[in-house]
Amino acid sequence: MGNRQTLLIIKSVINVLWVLQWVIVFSIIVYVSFLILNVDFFNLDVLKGFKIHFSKIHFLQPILIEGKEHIVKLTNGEGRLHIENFDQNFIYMRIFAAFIDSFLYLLILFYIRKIFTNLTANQYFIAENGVLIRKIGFTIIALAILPAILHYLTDTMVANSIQIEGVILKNEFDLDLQTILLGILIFVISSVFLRGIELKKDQELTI
Amino acid sequence: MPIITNLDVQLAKRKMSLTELSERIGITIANLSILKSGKARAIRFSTLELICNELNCTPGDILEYAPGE
Repeated sequence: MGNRQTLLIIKSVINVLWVLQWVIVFSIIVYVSFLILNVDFFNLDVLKGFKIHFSKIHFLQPILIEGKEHIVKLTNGEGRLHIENFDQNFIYMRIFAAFIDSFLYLLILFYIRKIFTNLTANQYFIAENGVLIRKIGFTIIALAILPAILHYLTDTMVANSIQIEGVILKNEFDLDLQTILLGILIFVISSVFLRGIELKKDQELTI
Repeated sequence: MPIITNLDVQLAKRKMSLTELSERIGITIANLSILKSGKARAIRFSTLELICNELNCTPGDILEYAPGE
């Protein structure tokens, strides 16, 4: 399989991902519309659950083990909390975080598509590709930081607003260091790429 | 860039065209045009030697330092 064929196959995959990402963004918009309009035909309570971290959950009733009653508790875990008929304002913040997430993915796919358009036109070492790679690096760093901040704010709101007997909720700042490092690596690669283009131009303009 | 090339002046003095110089020294017209228009970022000693030899001049006749350009 030739280089060009490989490029075209990858470009097709990117195009499929591009369409899927738009579907996700559109779904978020539809979901928010349902929430705002408070439609009855769609059971939103099922979807309204939000992720929680807990340090302790005490079972209020003792549990029978081999005929004896024991006090039981769960510690240090995470799950989804669902409260029926509860007006959860945090859900909008969670949706906003998901929207930011999807938008940043969309942006990355947009940049990759532009790079592939250049590659299929046999334009490899051009400054535009270097700038696009640099933008991808920045967007990946944003992808690791922005939704994490929003999630942390929401978690803080949830942990401070809800009091459940026997349950201690805690909020955690889930910073994805691996993704940040990946973003930094891509940024470094783009800097090397741009310097390479500069050297190529120097070479071309040396008589 | 404060370094300017006077190749066109030297060619005019000798009533020689760029094409003729290109044929004599074996450097493409495209490259000589880059040099003549001032777009060049560097010039090899070997190229300079060929041009000076053909035009019977010194590198100072072709290159000039003009601060503030």
